[in-house]
Amino acid sequence: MTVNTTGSAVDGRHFDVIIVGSGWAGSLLARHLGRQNWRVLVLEAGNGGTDTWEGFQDTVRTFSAAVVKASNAAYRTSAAAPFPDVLDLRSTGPSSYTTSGHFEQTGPFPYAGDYLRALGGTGMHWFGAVPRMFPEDFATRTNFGYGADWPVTAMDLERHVREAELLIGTAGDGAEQHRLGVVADPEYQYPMEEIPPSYLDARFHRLLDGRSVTDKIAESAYTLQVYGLPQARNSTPNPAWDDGSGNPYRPRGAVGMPNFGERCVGNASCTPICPVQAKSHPLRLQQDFTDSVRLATRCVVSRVLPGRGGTVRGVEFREYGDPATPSSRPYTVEADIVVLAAHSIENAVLLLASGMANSSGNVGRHLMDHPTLLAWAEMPANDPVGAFRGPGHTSGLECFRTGQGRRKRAPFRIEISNWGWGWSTGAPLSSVARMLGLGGDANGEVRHGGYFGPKLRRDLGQQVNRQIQLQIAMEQHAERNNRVTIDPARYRDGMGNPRPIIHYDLDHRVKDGLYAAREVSKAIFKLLNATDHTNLGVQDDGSHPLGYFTHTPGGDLPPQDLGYRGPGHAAGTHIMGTRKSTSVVDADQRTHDHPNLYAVGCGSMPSIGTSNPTLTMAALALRSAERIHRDLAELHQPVTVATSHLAGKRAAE
Amino acid sequence: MTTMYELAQQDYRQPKDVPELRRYLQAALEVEHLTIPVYLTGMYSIKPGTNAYAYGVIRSVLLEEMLHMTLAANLLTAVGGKADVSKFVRKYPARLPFADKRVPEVRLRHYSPEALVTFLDIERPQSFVPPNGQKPTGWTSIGQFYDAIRRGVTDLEQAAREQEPPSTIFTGVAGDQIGPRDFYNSGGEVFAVTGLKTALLAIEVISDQGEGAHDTIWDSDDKIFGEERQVAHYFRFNEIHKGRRYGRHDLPRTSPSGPLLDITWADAYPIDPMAKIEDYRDSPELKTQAVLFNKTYAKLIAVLEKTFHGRSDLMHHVVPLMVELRDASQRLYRNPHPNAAKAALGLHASPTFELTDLFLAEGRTYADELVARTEEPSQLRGGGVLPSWTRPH
Amino acid sequence: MTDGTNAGAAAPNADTHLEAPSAPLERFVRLCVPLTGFSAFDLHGTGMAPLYLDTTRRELGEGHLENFLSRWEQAQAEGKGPAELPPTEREIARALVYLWYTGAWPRIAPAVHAELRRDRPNGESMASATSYPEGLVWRAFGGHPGGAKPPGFGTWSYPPPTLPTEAEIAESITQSAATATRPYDPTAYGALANLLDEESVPPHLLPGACVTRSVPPSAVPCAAPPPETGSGSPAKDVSER
Repeated sequence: MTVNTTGSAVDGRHFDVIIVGSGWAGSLLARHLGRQNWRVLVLEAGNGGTDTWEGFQDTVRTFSAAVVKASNAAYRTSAAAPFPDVLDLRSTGPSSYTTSGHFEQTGPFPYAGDYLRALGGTGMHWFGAVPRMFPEDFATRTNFGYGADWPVTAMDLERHVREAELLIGTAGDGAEQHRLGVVADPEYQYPMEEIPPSYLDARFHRLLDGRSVTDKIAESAYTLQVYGLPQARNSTPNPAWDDGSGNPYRPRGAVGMPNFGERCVGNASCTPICPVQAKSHPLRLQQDFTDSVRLATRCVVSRVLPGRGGTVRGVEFREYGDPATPSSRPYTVEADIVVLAAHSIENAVLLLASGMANSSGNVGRHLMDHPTLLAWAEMPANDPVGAFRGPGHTSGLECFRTGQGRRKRAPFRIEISNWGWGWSTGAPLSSVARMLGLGGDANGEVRHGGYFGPKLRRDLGQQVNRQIQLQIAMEQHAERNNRVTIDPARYRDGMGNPRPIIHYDLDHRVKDGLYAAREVSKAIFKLLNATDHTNLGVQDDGSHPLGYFTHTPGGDLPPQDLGYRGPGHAAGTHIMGTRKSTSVVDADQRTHDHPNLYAVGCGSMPSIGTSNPTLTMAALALRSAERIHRDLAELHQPVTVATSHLAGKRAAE
Repeated sequence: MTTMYELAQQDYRQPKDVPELRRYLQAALEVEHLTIPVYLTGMYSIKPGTNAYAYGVIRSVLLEEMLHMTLAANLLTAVGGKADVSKFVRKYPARLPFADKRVPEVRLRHYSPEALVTFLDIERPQSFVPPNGQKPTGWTSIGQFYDAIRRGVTDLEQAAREQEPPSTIFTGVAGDQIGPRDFYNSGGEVFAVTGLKTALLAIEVISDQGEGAHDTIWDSDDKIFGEERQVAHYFRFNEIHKGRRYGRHDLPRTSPSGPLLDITWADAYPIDPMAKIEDYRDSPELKTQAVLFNKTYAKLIAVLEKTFHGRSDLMHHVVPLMVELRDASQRLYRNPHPNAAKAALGLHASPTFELTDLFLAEGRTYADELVARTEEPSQLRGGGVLPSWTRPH
Repeated sequence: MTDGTNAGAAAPNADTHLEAPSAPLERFVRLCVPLTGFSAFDLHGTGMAPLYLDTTRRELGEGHLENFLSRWEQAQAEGKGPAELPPTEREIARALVYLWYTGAWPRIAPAVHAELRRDRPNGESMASATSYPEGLVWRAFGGHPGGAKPPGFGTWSYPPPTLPTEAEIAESITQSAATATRPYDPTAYGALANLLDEESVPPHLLPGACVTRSVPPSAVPCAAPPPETGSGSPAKDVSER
């Protein structure tokens, strides 16, 4: 059991560090600082229990019982620490939508992702993709004339990225990632060998490698090449991996159950839940917490407390007993350093609610996601690929992510989905309903046609095994008006904390990227000899997909139906930079305004390229952990006459 | 006849030379295998969504038996022997070798108190067995059997080293060992047996996991593998049987006194412990499925044999076959017994785990095809790109 | 609905422990064989037969269930297939197949919902947390349910399994569907006479875009409108004479 204290037990106490949030960032920081013997308190707003076998089994059952297996389907809702769900959104017509639940949304387009407030945070339902960012991603302003540059380079983060890959537990092919251009060292070894690519990947290799596709928007031809995806999923230990200790890498399995989850067994449900826990999650790191780390769940931080001279003193939080009710008790706890690691959107809410770190006016601004275009098609009858097998995606097409095309449109990464038309159409369950003709026509009358018996079983089986889907994730760059705000007078949750108000939009670069992605998908389907079934526009029943719009990049390019889904890679709400006037945190994620307040996580990222952001976020967290350790060590150094004399002298100069 | 029964009939003594040590290790392999269908039956006859704790316990023990079987195969390979699966038990009920004569035959039973009694019989610690008179001439426990192997390995290796020039009993090809690369998720890791040290460690793992180390209820996994302390097999089963967890201060001979467990014996598919394929003649479809199960089981055994014979890379074909057996057996258990009289008693169909020469031969052909396929990557329809992990190493 | 508030509850234990299988259950299973294309062995093999009988009874009411079963029994005796059932029975048959294939009771045609005067909302609901992994759709394509019955490390690298042909499936179910009085005729199961040799499923029988994630699978739109009805058209419905 990881959870080892309660809110009431720490009331009024003082710690070296308080960390708000027990997801990847918070857990990495707590683990690191605990090993340096600092007294750390981790406050998790959500419920715990998944660190026991019985508790984890409850999430597996919750998943099984859910009608729609969306990203939060395995996790119970909470009235005390509510969180958004992709099921909150409804499409009400072309380019119109409604939302219910945790978010208020005011933008022309919905922010279509979600997150999870629970022990381990969104690191429980994440997919486990850990691609590195390209070096050029860190300076899009300098290189391509858009977005915001980072105050650090890929090289600066390299050491921490490696450490993150080890701690998260990564399977990948180092040589291949070197060829791709994201790993500098040609000899680099991941701790585990790559997750076996799918049969579908092999078909894509065979049919696409070396073939050329022209992107009219980027005005450039691209040569296709399928690359494997580094994943935080247990695979065969890499015998070539060496950390200098002489010990082989040993995959870490399930928490609370020995001999379980030491290798991916192909449950094909990574998001929302890996039932064997072969997919890494933050609870693994929490098992490493030293005795100096205390963790309490069901403690919702409502405010950061101001201290003297621009510092912060601690946090105010409310502890609840029953997640079904928001009734709770307030407590305070103090620390030398406070770290917000509560998810980019919740970090922004907390800073805004506390009136802190916002001298730049940029808290909550620059909200980014990876708007993702789905394109789906059917392989020929003589080339079934076998859908819904293995991890959600094991390979991708990477050539559209880099280079001068970025000047013309958003870059994008093409994920090759191993789960058929699941995300786009709800297959294979929706396939059953549609092939049966179930549910009535537009007038509610019983439909004609439809298959039964041997005909149904056979045609359904062969059709599903031919389903392929491309998930094409755009880079969205930082824009001031995509933002999180609060309005406590109007929008509060049951406990009284402000709910996030989100204003989200897509700019023309992203729309041009989505247009290009749709065109590229058509070309790829042609090369595969597959029949395109993509329909992003009006549907048979008159409904429009959420995120629908029509767009032309101009010139003689005809307008076409486009749309996007939100994978929930929320970033950029407290971006880092060197200047206090334009950024919220510095390169170590310390707020410019408060020397002992850190805001860590994807919120600090000035750009997210086309890489799933967790790995980079984890590296940043490890970087911050080193800085916090230095801060604390400095704070605890004995003051001697000599040094104070020198300090005084330096101050006088 | 199987090696284990032959051995069990002779007097209790340690192996006197390397050929006899190999016979002992072949017998060890057979003993470990014998238990697997028994546990599979107990586990897969549980109704889905019920008895989660018991299911988890049986699963964990089952996986450890597989680890033991693999370690026994590594030991046998290490001393220059070659595993022979054709001597495995071919039908149930089967006698438990090296056990007290009063222990009844082992039957395939659905999840029930009777099944747990069988499990306890299998895993009973050596120290629980009353001494067999003044002169220890007969075998009384499996632990005693492994003890004989341990002493045999030690003495024979000692003798070999003292020869001039010094030699060793560990003459097997190191590359033929099954290692952690190929085997995972199961009661610790498989490791290569390359000398006396690893051999003794392997024997320690096999006997401690089953019976508990040094007369405590805890096994020594934490010592060897750094894993969580878990109650040894016998005691884990006794918890289910008694419906209570062991408490912190419970001793091997006391009954568990900890918290109650959620055990519901009614949530299982009752089966006929004597079921044979022939009993299913009234239902051609059910009989076909039951035969198919046995053929798949034979395939599994045959592929395992290949992995014991130096093709440890084929281990990744074992898991899909296990999965096939899991799904096929669950379908059988959920079907009413096709014999009307038995169905009227509420009995369900069950896999019979009957092996025949024909099935084994077919299984070996299948295993040969797998070998051929790994050598001819172009035969994969995926088209030439064979992932590195499928290549032999 | 994903809060899964009843997820902790195990499947209602409706099975007949140490009792002979009940006649109503056997009849229910037997009648579901030609609808699903899976044999009685396979249907029993899900372990869900008693739960699904209960679920159907709860969703339709005892009277409507009995009406449906006897009409379908009668239709079979007359040599008819499920596609030849009258509209209401056909929709109930579809709902039953959906239940067997997915473990969930679907949203049905509003006209039938109204006609049956059902006392519950016309939405999709999972029969139980244990029913989802037993869905037959996964077996129809030789796969496994997402999040259950995992096939083992690296199995996704292998080519997909070869599936039985329609004729093989028809053959395998005749053993348990003893009431079938005519040889398997695909058109009685919905096959379109002019598309018998087509390898592809017509788009109106495929799912369209799931417009938001909140749309349950049974309410996802079709990929295309059905072909125009008219003389000799594929959608011509024999039961609507």
